[in-house]
Amino acid sequence: MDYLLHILILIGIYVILSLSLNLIAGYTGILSIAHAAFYGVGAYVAALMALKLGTPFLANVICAIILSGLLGALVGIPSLRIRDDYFVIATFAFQVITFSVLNNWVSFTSGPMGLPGIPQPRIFGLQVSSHWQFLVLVGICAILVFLAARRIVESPFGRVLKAIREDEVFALAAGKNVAAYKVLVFVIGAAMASVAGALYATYITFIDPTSFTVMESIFIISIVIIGGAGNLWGSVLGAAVLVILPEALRFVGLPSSVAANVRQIIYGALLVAFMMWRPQGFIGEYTFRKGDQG
Amino acid sequence: MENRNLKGNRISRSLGSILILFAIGFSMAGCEQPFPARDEQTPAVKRSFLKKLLGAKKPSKPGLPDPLVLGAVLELTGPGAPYGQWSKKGLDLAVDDLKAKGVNVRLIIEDGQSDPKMAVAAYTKLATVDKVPVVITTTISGSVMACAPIAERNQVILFAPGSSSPEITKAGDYVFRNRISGIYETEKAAELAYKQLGITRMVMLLVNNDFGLSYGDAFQKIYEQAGGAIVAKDTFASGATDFRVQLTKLKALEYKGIFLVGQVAECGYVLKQAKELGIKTQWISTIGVENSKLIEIAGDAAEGLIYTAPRYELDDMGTSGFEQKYFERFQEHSNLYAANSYDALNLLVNAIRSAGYTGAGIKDALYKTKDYPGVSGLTTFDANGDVVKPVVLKMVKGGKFVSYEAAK
Amino acid sequence: MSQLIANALITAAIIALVAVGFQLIFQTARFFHFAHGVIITCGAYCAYWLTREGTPFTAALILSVLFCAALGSAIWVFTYRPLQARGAGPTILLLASLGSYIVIQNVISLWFGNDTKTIRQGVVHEGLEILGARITPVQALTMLTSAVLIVGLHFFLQKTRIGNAMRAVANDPELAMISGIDSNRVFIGTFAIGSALAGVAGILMALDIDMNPQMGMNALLMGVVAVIIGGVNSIPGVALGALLLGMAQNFGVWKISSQWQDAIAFIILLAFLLFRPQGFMGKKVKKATI
Repeated sequence: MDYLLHILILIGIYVILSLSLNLIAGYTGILSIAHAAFYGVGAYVAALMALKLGTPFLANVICAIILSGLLGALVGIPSLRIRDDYFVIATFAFQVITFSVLNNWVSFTSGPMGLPGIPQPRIFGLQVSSHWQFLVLVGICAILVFLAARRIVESPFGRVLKAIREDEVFALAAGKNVAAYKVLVFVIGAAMASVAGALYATYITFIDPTSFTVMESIFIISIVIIGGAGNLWGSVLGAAVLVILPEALRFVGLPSSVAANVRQIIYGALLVAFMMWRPQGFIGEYTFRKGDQG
Repeated sequence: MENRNLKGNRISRSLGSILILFAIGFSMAGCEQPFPARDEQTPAVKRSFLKKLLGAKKPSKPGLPDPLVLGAVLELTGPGAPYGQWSKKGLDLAVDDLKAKGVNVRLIIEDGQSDPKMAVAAYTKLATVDKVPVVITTTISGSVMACAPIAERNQVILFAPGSSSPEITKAGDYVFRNRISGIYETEKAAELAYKQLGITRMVMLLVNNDFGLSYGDAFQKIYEQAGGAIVAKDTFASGATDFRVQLTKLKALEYKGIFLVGQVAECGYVLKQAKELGIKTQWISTIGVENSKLIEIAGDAAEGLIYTAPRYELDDMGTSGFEQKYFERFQEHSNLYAANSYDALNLLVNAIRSAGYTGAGIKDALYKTKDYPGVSGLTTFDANGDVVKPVVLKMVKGGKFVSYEAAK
Repeated sequence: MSQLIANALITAAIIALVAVGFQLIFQTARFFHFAHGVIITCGAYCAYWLTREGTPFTAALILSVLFCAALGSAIWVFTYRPLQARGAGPTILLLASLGSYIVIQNVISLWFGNDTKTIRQGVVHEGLEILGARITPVQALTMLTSAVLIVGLHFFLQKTRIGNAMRAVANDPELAMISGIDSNRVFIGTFAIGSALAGVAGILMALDIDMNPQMGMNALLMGVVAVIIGGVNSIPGVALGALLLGMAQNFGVWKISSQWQDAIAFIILLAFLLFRPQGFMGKKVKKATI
């Protein structure tokens, strides 16, 4: 039972991550490999505040949202000057730099030694410690994020995002402040990802920089794409499938020395396969195909 | 886009396939504990897995359970694998010896993968799903530190037969180890450098994790107190193979010795590349280097390296019987990690039999342990759950690891 | 000081070799072929496997390079070409190449294990002293090979018929096709040559610091940075970029922890992307604006 709950909690966390990245990549069409950085910053802020200041969970989450949002803006701003494919590389650079900071600023983040003993959340007097309680917490957060995302994509704001995705020049010609929209979607995406980070940190009670690497970013973007870019349910589906699939491997009795590699091979193969035969993912609407590519 | 009309169908189709995946996955469940992947081939029981899935409770009958179920998190893969494997061998021997005496012990072993995250997941699972009262944790120090809060919170003993970080001393009431804290090794190393070899200026090159950084801090404190000067300190990532940048920085400085802390492969490459760069100095390190892989990688660049080690002699009283049994079974010489693990299991079983199958009971019994005659020497736990045992100096000479006193 | 310069040159040599291979492919195929990084690793591991199976050393090295050329072309034929035929854009190809990288790297991990393997022969020697710096024979070989191959590639592209065909396809694929150039063969050739260079880089790296399955990723990233800051269309620019990176990484961490190496490289990259996206020697391409 605990095992099942554990899987569901992980799925919940990845649903939040993929929904937030979907807004940036699937709805606005900006491929970003920096998402694990927002995730990580959220986790570290929540953890450090809980450990060093003893502040309550909600306060920590709010701070995580603010700081991650700022980082999101920082990443979003260059998107205006840097062309699409080069921008992917730029997000890559942000990801690596953020990881370096988390890993090397040892006096503040404990670097590679990580932060153990993160206190579990206490919300309005209720202690969240058992798997069931965490599932409820993560579930509520995931639902809130989903509703927020749906609000966004169905609003005029969301329509502009999609317009930017389809033809940025046209959107500019129509008088939209494309710059502001891009930065804003990054801020929102980063803020949501940081919530996932706070949940992760307080659930596992231990974090270190190795959970927030480029590979993690690639995993999250894989969820978005395989689930379906441009479709919120796609992110839910993608998260469920990509979290469950390697767990199913355990049942086949693979020794752990092999399991990690096989899991990665499955992700990589799925990515290639979907690109080949179904770039819109399971139920997506966007295939990263642009009309006028040079 | 025509997708929209079919969206509903697609969703239900996809959700359907998820459910099928779920069903296949769980019906394939031959293994008992599907949490972090299993390596131990314990009898697979479908029924008890389903019981666990639905939340079976621990048996509430009085008296000790038979077999005694204990947990273990060992590094079976990753840079820490040599130590985890040795530990496993020691534990296997202990289980068999106990069985011969009529005491049945079952160890549930998980792989820590030399990664604190994995160790935390494994430890949590053992503590909360398998509900064992003690987890033998032969992992890198970082993993021990990460699991310690969980031990405290769940009142499950964390027993570390191989972890050296001085940080572990203060890690908690439920944390024990029968390997000495690295602080004694660094004391010996500092004494060697300053007093015996007359080295007054040194540089530190450390692996960037709990192990390296805590040893470095401890060494620096003691060495500087004695009057020495640490001229520079640099770090490298765990698992790195290219140290030219660090070594080049060091080359330009004035010093007569380098304190090197790292896992065996890393140290090997450091020594090799240092020689290639023309660095000639006295290398001082820790027992982490005592592995044939060092010579494989560094060749004669390792000659003259002096390192500290908790004392473990194959022909000591108490050790020799163990060494014989170990050699017979595994065709290799025993070492500290195997011996400590062997002792660990016996210590814990004794504690359970005197104080009951609970974390709190075992804890009290362990603190009362005095001069337990184990294969690794007499064991007494101090108020921090640490032990004090002798430290010796060894060196690399002629491609072999020999006693420093004898060889110098 | 001279040691620092020597180190910078050695690092730059490998980065440059990886970079020109990557650049060649990028120019022609117009997307970021990340799998290039794992071809580097394949070069080293192929040499390892061959020498372990008893192949004579030099033959093993040559065969490994050929294998890399074949593997690179195979990825083109079986993955990228079908995708391009379906009209896939650079982003999809980038994602496909990421997926390919992940698959191949993990296959190597599964097959050979994650620990380091070596193809080094002989005893560990002190390096030769040259102008105050110590350089091992392997390192000298690395710099020499890299320089020769890069200059060779430059002349190949400029002077030979095949090289010109490659440049033509890179410049304007449709025009090249109309002029009768078989673009399919050009693509295969491009991938083959680029991947062969990657294989050489992998082998040289392994001879110096042994190999592990992750070795290609970092080399590739540095190569990509070099290509961007050097200018996507210029080999001398890329060489310059590699040099800058080598210098920055070695000198940049003089006073701070060596762990900041990667961050430094990527900060430089960001600076170029923001302020001089065409690199040192590239020509400015403007995004359509109103």
